[in-house]
Amino acid sequence: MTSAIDPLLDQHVSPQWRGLLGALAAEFEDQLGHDELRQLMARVGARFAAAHPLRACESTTELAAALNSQWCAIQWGHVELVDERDCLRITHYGAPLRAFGRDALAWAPAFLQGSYQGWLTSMGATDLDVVQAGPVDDDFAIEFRLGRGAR
Amino acid sequence: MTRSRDIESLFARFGGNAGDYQEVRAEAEADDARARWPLLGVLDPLEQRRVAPPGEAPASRAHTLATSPRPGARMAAEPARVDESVPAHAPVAASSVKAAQPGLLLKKLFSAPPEPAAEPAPEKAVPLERLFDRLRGGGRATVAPDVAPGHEYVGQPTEDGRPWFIGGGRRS
Repeated sequence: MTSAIDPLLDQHVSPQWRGLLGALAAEFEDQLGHDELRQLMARVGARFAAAHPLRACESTTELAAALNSQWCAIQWGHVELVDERDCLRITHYGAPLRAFGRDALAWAPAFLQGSYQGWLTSMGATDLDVVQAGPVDDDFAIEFRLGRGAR
Repeated sequence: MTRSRDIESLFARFGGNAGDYQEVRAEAEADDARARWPLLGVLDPLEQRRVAPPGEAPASRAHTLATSPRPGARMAAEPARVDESVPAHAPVAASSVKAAQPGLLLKKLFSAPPEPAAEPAPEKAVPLERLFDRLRGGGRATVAPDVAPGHEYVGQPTEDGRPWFIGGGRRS
């Protein structure tokens, strides 16, 4: 399914920014390590979440609707929330992270991580962490978990 | 010219009782609709009548469906007819949502944002306060890495000590 949807995802990357973002990512990779880049992208995500606050939500379905309203408005894909009892699974589909180049998948998803952390903390998820569920090989589906993380 | 006047005019011209006229087109349209949107076949026509606000004129097709015999019986008696003009991505029944999920996902990715007033499915809604309390109150670290043998814990923690990943190997 990933290969079938690739053309659609490619079309969603603005030609105005693809070249610049690819060059930016390559320069970042030359100058910074992946952990530093993740930290940077997570801060960018937190800043983005603060600049785009969600409407008040009472439930997970309202939260999912509010999140998707934000993402859809900027064509950044779709998120699904699943209550796994011991964590909240956050699966983000179709984020145009490929604009940074394939190698950037090692750190670019931290933008989403920081965004979700920011939004969820503002919703009351204090002392809970958004953690990426392992490295990703393609940007179609990126999974995070909200839970009581190890500190 | 309205349908009733049209039929009455025909019977007046050629003779006969307009009351004997049976509208088969609406029934055919209903069969077409059920073939294209199987979910309609599981709707209860009586429920449609109860929930319709008083005084609101339903669409002619919906009204036709509401007054039809039970869809299951009709579909068993008459084979479904497929309208060749219907696009391949017509809506599917709830029972086949799982099989249609890739198409549904594509629709969510590339369609307009949903209306904010849309009501969420109440059976899936978990109150956030309760969810967060439950996640905080777990007896174990809920997102601590479950590292497989041969792998090490991934990456350095964030600036405030939180881990980046769960599971997987370290990336330099």
